[in-house]
Amino acid sequence: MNQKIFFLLGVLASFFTASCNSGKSPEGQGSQKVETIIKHDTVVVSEGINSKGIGRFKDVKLSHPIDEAMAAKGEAIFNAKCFACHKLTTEKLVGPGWKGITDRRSPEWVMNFITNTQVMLDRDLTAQADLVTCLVRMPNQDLTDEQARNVLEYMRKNDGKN
Amino acid sequence: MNERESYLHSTRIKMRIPKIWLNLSIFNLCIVALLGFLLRSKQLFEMQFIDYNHLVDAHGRFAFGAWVTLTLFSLLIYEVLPEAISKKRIYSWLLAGIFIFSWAALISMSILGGNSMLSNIFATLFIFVCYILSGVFIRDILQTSVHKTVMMLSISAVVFLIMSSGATFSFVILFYLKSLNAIYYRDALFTYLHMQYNGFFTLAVFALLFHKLLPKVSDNANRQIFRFSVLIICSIIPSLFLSYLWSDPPQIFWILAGIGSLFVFLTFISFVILSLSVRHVIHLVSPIVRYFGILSMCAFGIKEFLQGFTIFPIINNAVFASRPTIIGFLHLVFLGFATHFILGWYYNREVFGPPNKNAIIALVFFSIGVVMNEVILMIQGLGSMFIIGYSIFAWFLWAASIWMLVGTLMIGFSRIAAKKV
Repeated sequence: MNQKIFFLLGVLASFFTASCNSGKSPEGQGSQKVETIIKHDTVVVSEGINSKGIGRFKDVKLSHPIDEAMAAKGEAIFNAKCFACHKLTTEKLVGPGWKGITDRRSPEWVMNFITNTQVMLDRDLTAQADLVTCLVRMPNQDLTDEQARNVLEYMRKNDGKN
Repeated sequence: MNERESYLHSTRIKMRIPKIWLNLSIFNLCIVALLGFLLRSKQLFEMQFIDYNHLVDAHGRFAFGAWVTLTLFSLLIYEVLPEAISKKRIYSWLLAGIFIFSWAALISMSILGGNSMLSNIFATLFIFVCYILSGVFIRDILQTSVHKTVMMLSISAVVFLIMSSGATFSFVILFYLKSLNAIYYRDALFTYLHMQYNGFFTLAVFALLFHKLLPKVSDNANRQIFRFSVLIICSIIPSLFLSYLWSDPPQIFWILAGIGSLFVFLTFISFVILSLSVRHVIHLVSPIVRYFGILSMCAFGIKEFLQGFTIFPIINNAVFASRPTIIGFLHLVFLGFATHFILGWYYNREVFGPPNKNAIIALVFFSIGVVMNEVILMIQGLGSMFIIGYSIFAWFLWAASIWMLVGTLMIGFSRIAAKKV
């Protein structure tokens, strides 16, 4: 049964990727080829991509070590708005699990996705690949840039970054 | 025999609903509670074998179909229609169809998801059975001498049930067209929910309530009931547009939503006036039935009051972007209003046997779980609007889901123990 589901997901992912790709490079997309690997109960992982997504964030400066105050604020936002749909592990709930997200996505991609969700889902190939497994479009959460940055810091803390 | 004794005597007239539908509806309620418990557990624990989105689809569709639709239709058929009509075999076959296709959809959605071919087939078959059942019911009720208000509410209820299927077919079309349009998808979802909750559930409950109430109240109250019924029916279409405002649509939507908001507030005011004028009737029933009746009507009042405020953009944006708020609102109507009403009706009609402590404990236990769930969701929803949240809420909701599951099992055992019905 699991093999059949993987096969169906693979066919569906290929179909979506093929039909969503208009043949042009989306604005802001990196030139690297998108590779997708489907894993059981995890989001579709894109490897070898350095996409910054689509939005106003082109260069996000990260703090080292983690800014604990920012991460705490990010955690509060997660508990208020995000936890209903996301888990802090790799397990998918409504949306993908957050564990490892800062390894899979650039900080700019994350910030753009949080603040420009609908455009990203409409035009960014990586976001659309996630949509294949999740099947639910994330609504805009109306977070400010500062709040989005706090969420990113919390994600980095969750991934054990320093 | 005084009025109360006379009324209580009349309720002890055997229910005409075949036992199978009573038993299956209560069994299905237990399954709905079990699915809710699994969903809450998935949020907290690692459960790789469950696909959350599949189970959410299944939970929602099953709750709508196998619990509320099956139960409300059974009550409308066997409590409102005369016996000579309700005993027609076609009703049994159609209710069986609702039950079977609800279960088939549950199984297919849980495993394959709501958008799989098989799930769509079963969902479509369920809809077609509802179409036939609605047509037969409308044809039959028009031939009866049921009070015109009850007839109007009953027919409107099933019409809105039919209309909700339009939204269901929209999902299928969007999926097969591979559309990623968020606005179409969410608007279809909200249309479906609105037609079911504010349309079918609400109007069917009031049809049943007024069917019992109208013979007991004055002519003035009769007129108030009629006015309220007209208002609530008229409010349903325009208030639908309140659900579309999240996407900042063209101005005409705002105008229609404004009209809807006005109708909702007028309905609320009419409801309050009506409640005050017929409040004496509540003393005709037992305390536990009174408790469920008050809870159910309070839930409706709260729903109606809050819904009107979604005309304001800041509230609309906050509500429709917040998953806990949406879930809280849905459960307010589904559990707080409709389920409380049904359980109070069942107790009043001695579905759980003659008045007994065990049934009361079971029902009140479940009801406390519903209230707990609703309060936590409300706090959580408000919190998400102000970016205040604590991970402990997930544990509270999990506890509430366990409480409700245990409550439904206790209700099930009470039904098993009942010997009279």
